[in-house]
Amino acid sequence: MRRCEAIRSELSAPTGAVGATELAGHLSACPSCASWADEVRSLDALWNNTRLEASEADDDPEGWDAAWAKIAPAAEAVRRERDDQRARSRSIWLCVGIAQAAALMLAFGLWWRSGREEIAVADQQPAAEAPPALTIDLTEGELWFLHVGKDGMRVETTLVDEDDLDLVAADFQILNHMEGLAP
Amino acid sequence: MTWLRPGAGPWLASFPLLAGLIGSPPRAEAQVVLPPHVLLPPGMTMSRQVTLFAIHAIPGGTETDPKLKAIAPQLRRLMPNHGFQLVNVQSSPLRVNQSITCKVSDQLGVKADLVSALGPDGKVQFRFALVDTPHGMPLATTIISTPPNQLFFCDKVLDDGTKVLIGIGAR
Repeated sequence: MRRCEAIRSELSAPTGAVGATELAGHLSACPSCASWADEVRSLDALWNNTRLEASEADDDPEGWDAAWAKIAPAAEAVRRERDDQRARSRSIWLCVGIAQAAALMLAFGLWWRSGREEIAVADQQPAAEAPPALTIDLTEGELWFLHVGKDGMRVETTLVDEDDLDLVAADFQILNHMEGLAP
Repeated sequence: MTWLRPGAGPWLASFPLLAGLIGSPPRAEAQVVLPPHVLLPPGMTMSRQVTLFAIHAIPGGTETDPKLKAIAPQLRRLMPNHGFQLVNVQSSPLRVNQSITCKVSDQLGVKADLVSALGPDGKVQFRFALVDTPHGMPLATTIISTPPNQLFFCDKVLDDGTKVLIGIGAR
């Protein structure tokens, strides 16, 4: 570890304490120092490309103009990149908003067209989707009574004979009367 | 309180974009109530006028709800020695897969779905369910095929020993 520190110190501020051969040997053997050296080299290159020349760094406005001419394209590129990112972000949110609105409209449309027009009583949501326990097939003139008690269901049927047409008539009269009572 | 989903034509027409997206409302379809064995013209859907009612039947009672006076003799033939009190009645034209519900009490409701408006045997088919309303649990579910204009009856014994008489029929 100490060796690495000495190598990096020498690379940062060369003193001649570590020879070039030794430096090269260490960098080829130590991935950590090699990576560090690469980063330093990149920073150096960046610095060299952007640092102001002595003539540009004085108070001469022309020198600053020249310096700004170097920096401005990079600054403009950064600004454009940020604008593009914002525009992309806005586009994404706009797409998400449109998709959500479309989903809501689709759900509403499906509900509207579902064909399950309910005549409901307030606060009542009966669930009648359970499999039927019984199938009842009435024939004409047959009276069915389904009795539902705590112990289950019981079916009672009466086939009205031709002499007892009153019951059939009674059935029909009840239907007519109740239909008339409906709101 | 009973409600029907409002007819959507004028309402939807004021939102052309919405109308364009979801299409015409179901109410706009041609709808007709026809007797059995009648072939329907293309584009028309058949509906049935379905009536569902609940009557409180009190054993040993003699009083009958004034609204039921006209059919008191008929009710007494069905359930002798009972008094009758109207609880609820609903009637509406239904197409296949539409439902009608009738509240009996805070604990009990009835729901009927029109399964078939006209079977090959000329009958109307319902899915009929008694529902424990607070829990949304069906207490009894049956499929009923009945000739038009013929009622199907069901009774349920309530906790106090009285009964509720439920009838359903279609024309």
